[in-house]
Amino acid sequence: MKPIDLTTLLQKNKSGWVAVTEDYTRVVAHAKKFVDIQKKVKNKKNVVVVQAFDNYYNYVS
Amino acid sequence: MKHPYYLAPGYPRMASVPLLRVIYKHQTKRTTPVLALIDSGASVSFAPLDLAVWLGMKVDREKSLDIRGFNNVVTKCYPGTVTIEIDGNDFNVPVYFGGRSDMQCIIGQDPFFDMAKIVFERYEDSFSIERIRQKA
Repeated sequence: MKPIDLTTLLQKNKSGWVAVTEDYTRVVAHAKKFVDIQKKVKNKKNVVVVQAFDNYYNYVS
Repeated sequence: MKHPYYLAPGYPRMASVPLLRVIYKHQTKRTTPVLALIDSGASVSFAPLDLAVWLGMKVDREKSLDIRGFNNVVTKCYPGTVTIEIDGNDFNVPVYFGGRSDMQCIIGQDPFFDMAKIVFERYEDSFSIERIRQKA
């Protein structure tokens, strides 16, 4: 299966929340807090929100 | 249903992570789809506290859980039961809300991994989630 590449979309935002189109081609909005990104996209359809980090590789749980 | 892995910014290597579109729901409120991490290494599910605020939920402040991560860093989290929609299926699960807004949305083992068959096939850049019958 082909992975979905978020690297270009997340390049400019290193923190907070990013809303992208569900085909992962365009950033629609950015906000620091989850509540704020929801307010920005609540009337938009076909949008997905994702947390922005500068590094996803160093995550451990 | 099969889902793709996502490539995300990383150092020293680009990260390949099993993210999944999840809609969090509580009563009449719902989020837009959120990319949450499916994390077999997490005991329970987590989300930032302001996600609970958005859903208008009351978290149980009497039953806080100190979540211990790498290096023993502790984050106080509070449970609340939400519905998470995945592939059109609803799952009622407890989620521990806490930390700052940048706390990762995580779907952990208890109880989600009892409700679905989850198979990671990173070598094929995919993972699958299949709802199973609840145990009697």
